[in-house]
Amino acid sequence: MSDLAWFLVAAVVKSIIAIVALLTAFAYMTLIERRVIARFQRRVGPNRAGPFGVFQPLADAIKMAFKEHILPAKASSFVFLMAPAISVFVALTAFAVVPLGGPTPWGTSAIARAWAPYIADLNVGILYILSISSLAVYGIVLAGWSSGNHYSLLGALRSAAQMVSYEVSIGLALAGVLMFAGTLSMVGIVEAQVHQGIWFILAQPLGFFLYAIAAIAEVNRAPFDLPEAEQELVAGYLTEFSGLRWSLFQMAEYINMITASSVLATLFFGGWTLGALNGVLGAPFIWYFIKVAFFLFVFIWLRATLPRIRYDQLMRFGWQVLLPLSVVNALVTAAVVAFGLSWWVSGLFGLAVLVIAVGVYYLRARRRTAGQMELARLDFGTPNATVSVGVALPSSVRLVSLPAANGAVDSAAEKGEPVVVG
Amino acid sequence: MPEYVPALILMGLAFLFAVAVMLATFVLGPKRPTHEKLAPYECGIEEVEAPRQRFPVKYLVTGMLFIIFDVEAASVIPLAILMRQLKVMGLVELLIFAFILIVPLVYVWRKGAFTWE
Repeated sequence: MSDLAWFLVAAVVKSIIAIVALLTAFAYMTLIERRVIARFQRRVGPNRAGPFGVFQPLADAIKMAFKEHILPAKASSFVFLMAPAISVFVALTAFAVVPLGGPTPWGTSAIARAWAPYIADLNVGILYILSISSLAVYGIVLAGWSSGNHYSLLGALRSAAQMVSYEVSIGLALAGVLMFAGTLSMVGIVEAQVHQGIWFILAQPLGFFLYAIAAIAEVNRAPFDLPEAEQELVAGYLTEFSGLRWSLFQMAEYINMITASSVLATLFFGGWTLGALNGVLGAPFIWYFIKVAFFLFVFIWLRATLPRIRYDQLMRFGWQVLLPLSVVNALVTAAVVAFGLSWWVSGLFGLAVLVIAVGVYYLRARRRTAGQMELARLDFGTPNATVSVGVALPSSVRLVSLPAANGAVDSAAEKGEPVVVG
Repeated sequence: MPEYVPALILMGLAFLFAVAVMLATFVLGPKRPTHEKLAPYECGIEEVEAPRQRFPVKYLVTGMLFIIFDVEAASVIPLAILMRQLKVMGLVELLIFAFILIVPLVYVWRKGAFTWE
């Protein structure tokens, strides 16, 4: 066969492998997530179907396929059916440029290169991922709009506003890495890290955290899973979906998580490169797999640890914290690259900003807690054991108790006690 | 542009997969629709007003801000790639660019576009 034919055959086979692998990874991510979250909560998790519950994803898939697929009477049916398909199509497509290994693991001939362990090495690689994954918002908005349900529409609107707000920061947060790498190609970025002898996390700690936070918000994972805030919006845009149509949205969410983890591993942690062990067959892939698995675990860990944040906090955080910080990061990195300074200059700067940001957050949280504790004291007299432990009252409780607090302020002023109104 | 062909092939296969699953949903599973089952989920109460009514203008503001800032952020990327070659000239351009980015950000911030009640 000619080289061109081999090239096409390789592309088709690799695409099929990628789709099957992503679907399997999705199925087992659901199991791993349930097991890990169960461990976090001192439960066992699903362990009945097969040893350690390994057949649970299979059982879930079969159950989902044979559920009744409801088409609500008020839904606009074509859009309603297209929305899950768009979501999963976008999620699968974005994976095309993720490199699981170097361009020449099997040799340097044209046929060997056609079988390189990535589907395409585009010279606009990272831009391709950003642009394709930003199409994901269409699936969600169309799903919410077409359902003919208030909760779905509100969930979709929230999700759209959230995703577009964090997308701005994603582009700017990656600008720092791109300045160091000087290329958009994913393979090229990994090779630039080998060439410069560092992982870009060392030069771009701030960029890493900005991108990681924005990516979590972009894939709608906890603590940014506002579209699915069940106590407010039932299941958000998913409310009217059932069976396999619902599974497609879950599939898209997990595949997007895998892609985001791959981008983190490739751009900031050197991708597949393993130095001297690069030549060992399979070793670079396993090394890469470990990195991606670690970030996937962090996704689950965050979901188990952090409570969902409020919508106004979410929007303020995206525009007023992430966006200015990513502009600052891009400017400082540009200065470092333009003046030819060493990578540790921007690395130290990033660390300093991170320390300051965490410090400011800590002090503000302490001040808020102190003010609320003072209010609680004014309301209830001497702080009781629960309050003095440091449990901050939520703002809704504070609003309700303000009139009482004012009364208490007067009586406290009469007795000459210090008065604090938070 | 031969390197785009494999990506297009993946796109085509992903599209086929998505459509196949959506078609399968018509075949698989029982079909026993009732009036209640097809009604919009409203936590058990009768629907009071139709959805797809007007929604808060804040979402529109956010959408417009996104278009402005995302186009600007996308324009930074070519500059970022060439930063090593452009040296100080590139830095100056980026500073001008960041200035243009930050002034509207401060303006909409002061106007309260990021304050959600």
